[in-house]
Amino acid sequence: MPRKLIFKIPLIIIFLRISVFSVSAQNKLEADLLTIQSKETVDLQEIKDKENRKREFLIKKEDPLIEKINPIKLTLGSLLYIYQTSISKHFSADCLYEPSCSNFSRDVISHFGVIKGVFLTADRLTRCNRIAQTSLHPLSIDPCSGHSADSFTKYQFKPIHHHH
Amino acid sequence: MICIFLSATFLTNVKAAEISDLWHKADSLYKVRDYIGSIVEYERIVFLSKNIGTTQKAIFKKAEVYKHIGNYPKVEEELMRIGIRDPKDSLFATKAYELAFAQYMKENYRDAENTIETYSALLETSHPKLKSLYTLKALCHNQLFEFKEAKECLTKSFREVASEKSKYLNILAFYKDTPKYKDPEKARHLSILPGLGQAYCGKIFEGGISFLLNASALSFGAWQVYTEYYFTGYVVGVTLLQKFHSGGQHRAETLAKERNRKEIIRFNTKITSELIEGPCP
Repeated sequence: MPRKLIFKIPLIIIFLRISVFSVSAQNKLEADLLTIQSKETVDLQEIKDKENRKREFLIKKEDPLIEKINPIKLTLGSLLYIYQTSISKHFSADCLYEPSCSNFSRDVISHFGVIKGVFLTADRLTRCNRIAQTSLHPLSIDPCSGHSADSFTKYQFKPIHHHH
Repeated sequence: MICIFLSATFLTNVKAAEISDLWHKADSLYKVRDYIGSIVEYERIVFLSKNIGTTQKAIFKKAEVYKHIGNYPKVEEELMRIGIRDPKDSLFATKAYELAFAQYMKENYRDAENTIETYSALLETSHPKLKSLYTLKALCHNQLFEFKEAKECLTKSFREVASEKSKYLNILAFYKDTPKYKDPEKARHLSILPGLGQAYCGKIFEGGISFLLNASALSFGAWQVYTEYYFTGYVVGVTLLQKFHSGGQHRAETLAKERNRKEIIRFNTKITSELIEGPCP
């Protein structure tokens, strides 16, 4: 083996090691860039979903005809829908509960009817303020969202039977 | 109690062979995806080992497990435990990169940028990790809408690699049309005149609705006062006006933040896509 080549061997080894390191570093960077990209794609989708949030109407397609033509339900449903889609975001109010007062109102009216629904909505609205906040049960508060759980199911006398 | 203390003293006096077994156990647990188990075993190595190199390696591996499961706050916490000051140590640059990456994923872009700035200043200019560090720093600057600095970082990142010139030029072309920053604070202040903040964020129709709602509340209050219903005018009119006005300000601020986030994600995605898949000559 020529003498010059013997001297070059360590240099070649060092060069190869640096190349291997650079290639692995490049692959690692690409893997991390992919992680960043996928995380940011999810973030973007979340913002888009928030912007195009669909609201349910009080009266559903599967409801009986008599409920679909009920003028009181139609009026209440329309008012709730307008409030949720157009007014709510301009209004400076952060609801204490989960579901929010407007969603709760929609739930109670559709499950218990107009009379009990309106009374329960009025009850809920009077409880959604800073004074009533002090009497919330600590265990009912979700630590992540900070909202107190207050679903319509708490207000039914009979349990709901699911028909299969 | 005495027995517990004696056992602890006895247990901490481990031999190198036992540490090797612990490495094997921790690595095996990681391979079979028992991440919590491997985290515990790496921490056991940190606790039992007296060698600083072994301790640092175990902490680093633990941080890697956290990274794998996407727990970036813990990655940052663990990497902060590694006290390393010698830039010639290979762990120095690797720690800098992983720490900055975790901070980026936590959306602490300024922290990530500062970490890279601090560590890269101590590294040799030919260090192979600098390319990754500058690329990440460019993304941080993008997130902070500092496009001039981002371009400088990309120039540094591609300086050593002549073969990737076309990729570099493609990326630089994106900087001719950068997203415009909408200042959330400015949007909030503009909303003193209802609707103007929303219009500043590009939502003119929404701004119009906000203006109408505020005008209606004000008109109602004024009309009630004019008809001498002072109490109703104050309670209903002023309360509604205050609610709509502060709500509009908050909404304008949120819109500006969301718009900035959306625009910068789209811009950064173009750059990361080019970096990952861009044509290589």
